[in-house]
Amino acid sequence: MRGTWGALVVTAGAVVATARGLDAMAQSQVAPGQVAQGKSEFAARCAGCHGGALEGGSHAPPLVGSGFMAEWAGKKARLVYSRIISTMPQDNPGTLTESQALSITLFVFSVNGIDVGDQPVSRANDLNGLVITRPARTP
Amino acid sequence: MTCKHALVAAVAAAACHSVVVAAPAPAAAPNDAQWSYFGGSKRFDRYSALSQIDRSTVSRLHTLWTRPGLDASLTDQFPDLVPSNYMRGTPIMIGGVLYAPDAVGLVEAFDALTGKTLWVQKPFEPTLKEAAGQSTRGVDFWQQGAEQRIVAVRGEYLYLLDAKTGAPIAAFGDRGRVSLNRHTPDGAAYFGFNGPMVVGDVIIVGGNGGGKAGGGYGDGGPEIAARPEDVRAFDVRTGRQLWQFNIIPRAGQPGHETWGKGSADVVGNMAAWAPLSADEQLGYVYVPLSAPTNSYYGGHRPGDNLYANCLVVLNARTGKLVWYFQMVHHDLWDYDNASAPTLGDITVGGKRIKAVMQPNKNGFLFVFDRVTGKPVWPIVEKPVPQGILPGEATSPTQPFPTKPPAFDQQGVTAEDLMDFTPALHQQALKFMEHYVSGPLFTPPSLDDDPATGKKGSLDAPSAWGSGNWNTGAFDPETGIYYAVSMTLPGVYGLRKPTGPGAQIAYEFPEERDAAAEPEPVYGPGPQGLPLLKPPYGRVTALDLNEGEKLWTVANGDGPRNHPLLKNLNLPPLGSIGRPVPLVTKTLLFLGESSDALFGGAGVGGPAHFTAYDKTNGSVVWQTTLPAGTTGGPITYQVHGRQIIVVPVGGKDYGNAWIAFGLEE
Repeated sequence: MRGTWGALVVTAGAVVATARGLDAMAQSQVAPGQVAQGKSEFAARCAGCHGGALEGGSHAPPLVGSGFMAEWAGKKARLVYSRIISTMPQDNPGTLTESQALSITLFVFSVNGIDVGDQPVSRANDLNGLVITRPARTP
Repeated sequence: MTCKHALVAAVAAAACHSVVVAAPAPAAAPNDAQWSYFGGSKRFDRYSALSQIDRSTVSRLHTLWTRPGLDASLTDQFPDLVPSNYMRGTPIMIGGVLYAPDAVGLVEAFDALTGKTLWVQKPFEPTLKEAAGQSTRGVDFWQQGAEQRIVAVRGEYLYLLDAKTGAPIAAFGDRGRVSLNRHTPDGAAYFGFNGPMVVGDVIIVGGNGGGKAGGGYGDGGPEIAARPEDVRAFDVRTGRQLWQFNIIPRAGQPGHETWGKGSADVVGNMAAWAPLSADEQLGYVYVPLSAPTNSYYGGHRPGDNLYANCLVVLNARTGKLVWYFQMVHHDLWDYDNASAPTLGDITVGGKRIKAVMQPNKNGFLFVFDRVTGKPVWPIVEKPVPQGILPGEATSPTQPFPTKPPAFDQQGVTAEDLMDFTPALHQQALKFMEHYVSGPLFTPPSLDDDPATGKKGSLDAPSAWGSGNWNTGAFDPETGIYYAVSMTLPGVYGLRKPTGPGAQIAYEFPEERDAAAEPEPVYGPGPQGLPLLKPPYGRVTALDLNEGEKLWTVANGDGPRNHPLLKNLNLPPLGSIGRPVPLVTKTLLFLGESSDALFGGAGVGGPAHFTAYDKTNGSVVWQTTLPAGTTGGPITYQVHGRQIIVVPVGGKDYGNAWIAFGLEE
């Protein structure tokens, strides 16, 4: 956690996003089509700043790992979608469609092991009832 | 509802294009004072002569109001509008009204006494697509007779708005806006956060970069081709482009020859991304320029590379170059002129000089006669360490001001390493052995050198700088320049690009192991500790009548409560960040920046906001803001009351402008 000693720190129990892990999560049973689409949208529109493995860059925070989860755990899933569609990409906000922003959101969730339940997620409104929870520890 | 045929009357126009909530405040009282540009004035000195809030009264400051960074009218209309917490918008205050870009870069006007909404710029179309956006640093104000206008840059557009209603001025460009897009080889849209500058009837615009490399900041990457973000000027009434200054000279223009191998015609990713300043009497605009493509390797661009890393001074009416100075030749460190060039008058050797003060990320403050460009004190070309990477052509010398002294740590040697305890000092020494290190301007090297086993060059300052857009405030009463900076070394370790289509021999690898801990706050160092001696966030007072350093104080706690340091009961060590100073009659105000800033440069959660005695840096008063600062504190006086407003933002807080004042 940046700069605040004594603040709650997420430990190494969080899911580690190795390259193999990214592919494994992209095979998720839930919304596999959107996650796969999100993976390619992310590579085309987001990776230039946020990194190919979502690890961040000089002008963009990581979208995976303890910092990301510390910011978003407990918050509504819809907020991530809203933040993306209203501010991203940083050099040209407002250029993502609902479908693009949604698929990118689901891809980011899948990389972080965030469970989106077993109902279909095909519109942004389908995220409304969901709260971001930390993934269970992997064995 | 189409507004093409709207009446010119303010009310009708307002109904179409903005939300007008309340009438502006009553007429100003005597001794009221404005904040006429977001840097204080177009001199960008971040100074106010106000004294109602001073040593004796500052402890009575309390919060007057907190205004969210996005007006409720926008969040009501667009529930998906969730802005970034990095709210850059520093307001201006003119005629009892505050004008600022909000958290998505739409301009909001609010009452300077109460913070209540007066109007909100509507998105150009009533769609989320047009509402979406990023905050910018500030707007400008133009007036002629009864006409009052707000000039703003948002996304790819330059806007002209009616200052009374927020309605776009139909005669300006296309229905009130001009597209700033230009053709770039990679199809990048224009964007720029640094705010427009109006001089006379001319709007001058910089920008963030000339292409997509480095996320639009041009800070690295293996592509050569980009288009520099040339400085452009537009007519304030019609939006017609008046001139363009080529920041990389074209063939036949002076300076073209400073780019070898034909690189001037290919490279870009250069811009004036820091705020501008202007001397309205002279009619000059002062333009700070950044590093060239890519910022860390220059084998493809041998030569000094004008006008990269220069301060260029232009005639605002014609765009003609008046004078320039290059702070870094053939930059390999991303040592941009990242700060506004502050203007002020000083007395040196009994002679009054109209000066300009330009800090660079490298820790030097360059001071010139702003009319002629003559350095106030000699700037000497000194030999510097030479290139290590194949094909590189390092500049044999770099400019070193003889005065004033550098405002932050330069270079990394054993003597510079932290020594909180002998054991920690030993750890720092061992850490340093993994890298090439040396004085300022030690060039980048391989990030994994098979011959030496070194992991790159350990430099101070790093590419984030010591100085950055936040750095300067100048007190015209005393001639003191306050440099706010951070001590954050970095590793310049390059490798051959591995991706397809790479055109530059070496690049700065951006990838990190995603499983690793987040980037260490204090830069490379043992056990997450800072490598160098404190302070890590500081204010340095430079007397520019004498060219001497007066004092340096730490700003913020820094790592004093780190588990390995806690028991040492250390004083404030200074927080990493980019907070903005405000200097007044007696006090210097400075917060701690938020970790919502790029690179996590700041504190998460509540942050200190401090009033220092401007003569000696002692703490006079301190309060806690709910989040760190994201823009500059400003001050003004309305109805006889001095008020301070500061933009803040944070991951758990959101964003807001917070106003402080004394009791009535």
